[in-house]
Amino acid sequence: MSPAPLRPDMRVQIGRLALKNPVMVASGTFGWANEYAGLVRLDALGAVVTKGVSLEPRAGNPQPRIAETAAGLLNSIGLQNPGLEAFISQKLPFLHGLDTAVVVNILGDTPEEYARLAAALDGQAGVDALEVNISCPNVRAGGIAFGSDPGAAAEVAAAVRAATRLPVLVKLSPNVTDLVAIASRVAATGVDGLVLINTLRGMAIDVWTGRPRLGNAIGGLSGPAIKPIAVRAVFEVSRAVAVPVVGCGGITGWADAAEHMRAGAVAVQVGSATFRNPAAPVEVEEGLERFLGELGLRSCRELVGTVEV
Amino acid sequence: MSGSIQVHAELVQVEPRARQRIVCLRLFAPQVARAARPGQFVMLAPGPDGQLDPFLNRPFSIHRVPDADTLELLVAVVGRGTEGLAALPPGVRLRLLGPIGRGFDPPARGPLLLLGGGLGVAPLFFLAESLAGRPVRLLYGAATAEALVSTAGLPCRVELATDDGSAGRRGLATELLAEALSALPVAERALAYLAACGPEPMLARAAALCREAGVRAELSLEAHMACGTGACMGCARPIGGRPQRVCSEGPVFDAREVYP
Ligand SMILES: Cc1cc2nc3c(=O)[nH]c(=O)nc-3n(C[C@H](O)[C@H](O)[C@H](O)COP(=O)(O)OP(=O)(O)OC[C@H]3O[C@@H](n4cnc5c(N)ncnc54)[C@H](O)[C@@H]3O)c2cc1C
Ligand SMILES: Cc1cc2nc3c(=O)[nH]c(=O)nc-3n(C[C@H](O)[C@H](O)[C@H](O)COP(=O)(O)O)c2cc1C
Ligand code: FES
Repeated sequence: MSPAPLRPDMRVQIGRLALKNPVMVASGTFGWANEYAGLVRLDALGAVVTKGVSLEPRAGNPQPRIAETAAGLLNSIGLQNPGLEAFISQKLPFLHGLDTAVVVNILGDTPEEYARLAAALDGQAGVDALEVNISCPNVRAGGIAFGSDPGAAAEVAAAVRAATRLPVLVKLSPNVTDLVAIASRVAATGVDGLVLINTLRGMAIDVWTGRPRLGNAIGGLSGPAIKPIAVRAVFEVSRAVAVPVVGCGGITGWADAAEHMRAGAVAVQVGSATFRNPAAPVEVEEGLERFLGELGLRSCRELVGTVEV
Repeated sequence: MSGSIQVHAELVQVEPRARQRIVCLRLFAPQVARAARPGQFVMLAPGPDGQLDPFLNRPFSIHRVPDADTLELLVAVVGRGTEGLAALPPGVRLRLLGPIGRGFDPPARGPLLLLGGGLGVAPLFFLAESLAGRPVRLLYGAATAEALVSTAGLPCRVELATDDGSAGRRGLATELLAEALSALPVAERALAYLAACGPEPMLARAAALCREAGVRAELSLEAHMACGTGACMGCARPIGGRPQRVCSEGPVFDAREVYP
């Protein structure tokens, strides 16, 4: 009888952020984690990434906010959140008690707002890292998303980086012509990692009523439908930049996570899949570990970027 | 923290329930059935595990709990998810999350009115059965007789209304409600209670009638949902002056909060 294969080492390092395994949940799809207590073994997650937090509370968009599409969904939540103060007093205590890393996703309308959020979260017990959502409209530049302009994206990244000692991940928007150019500029600001991708802008129309299927008309597309775009983004960016890349988009099972990692992701985030199956992120981690064992790899890091082109 | 659990429920039977396309899904799900309260709902996968399209789970009210191990859902076939569900063979195991949300909270005594419009009648069966022995009247409206689900065997008085008069009263269920409310002795109105589920115009009218009559009303709302756990904010809308999630803070809300 052959000896049982060694369990692969699942620990990963994303810049200065150390995780016990490479499978996180994606921002906005897991609330503040307390919604899943009792349903999911939260401690089995590599990290919890919170819903986006802004300085002030946001009420979000009109109904409907969800429209299912082919193998995915459009959402127009409108970044509804209780604001920084309520996050710290009402949501963070529960997160602090978890035996997993906590990454707080932040968003603002100006670089100063991002910096203020970063400074305020620095030193808060329970916060292990920040994830900067730059898909928001840049109020000063006339509402164009920070994430679609290399200069503005880098300005936000640098502002956050300077305002906090916490590890900083920047989550990039795929709604751009030259993702590598933006990723390179952001990486050069000294952030710890890049997360890609956020949702793709999309629209669906009810042909009987002639009205958009979202109250806000336009929303963000996620789910299996976007996986090939996400894998391509991870592949291109991870080859072009020196900072670690976290893959996100369309992951529903361990093989999707393995695909992102082969493309170049050091870690992954599971988003919309949790809507179908709250246990999906934990099952992805377990399946990935088994897969690595079958490949005879000693560490999940050995899978990263192994696609042969 | 939610009180819901996720199970693989076995589809025991799919049975037609009206001359129109309405089916009753009977599912073996003991843990969920035992915890269920009237007005709560479940999120049901539209197909077996591994099938990625349709992607999202579907919300359905708990229609009946015929025994401690079984859930019944009353499903109108209206789109690709419900088409698929209605065509599944018995024996299939489907992911099911439940029971979800805040159900109805009827008072311990006093006259009870239940108002159902169309498929909104689904959760009112469970509620009526849980109130057996009490003075309950179910006011049930649908477009036509073809769309009505049989109420035979329900332990309450039933009054019907159809838009075309093909069964019961010709007109709206809210007309039945207006009459039932005005027939209540004034002294009983403070004790009386209405539970309503159905299209929003019906709920708005019911809320207005109950407000005038001084009768407490609870409404079960719908919204497009992704998670069903309170995490995604997809179902949130302004209720009682703040955004509330239909899935975890509802689906049943006080009428005065919904229509202030
Ligand atoms: C709390 C709650 C309880 C419900 N109870 C019942 C019930 O007991 N019986 C019943 O037949 N129906 C019920 N519904 C409505 C039911 O969820 C939809 O009819 C069903 O999801 C339609 O799915 P589909 O794939 O056939 O339609 P499609 O139109 O193809 O669905 C596309 C997407 O829209 C969503 N959607 C479409 N219509 C609705 C709707 N009215 N409400 C919410 N989401 C919708 C679907 O879930 C799916 O995500 C309930 C809805 C809610 C929110
Ligand atoms: C309902 C919903 C809400 C989201 N909210 C946020 C958010 O607040 N901040 C953010 O950076 N990304 C948000 N996202 C994007 C996801 O984190 C993720 O990038 C995207 O859904 C792609 O991954 P997926 O295909 O696994 O869902 C949200 C996605 C969904 C579906
Ligand atoms: S459906 Fe996600 S919060 Fe209600």
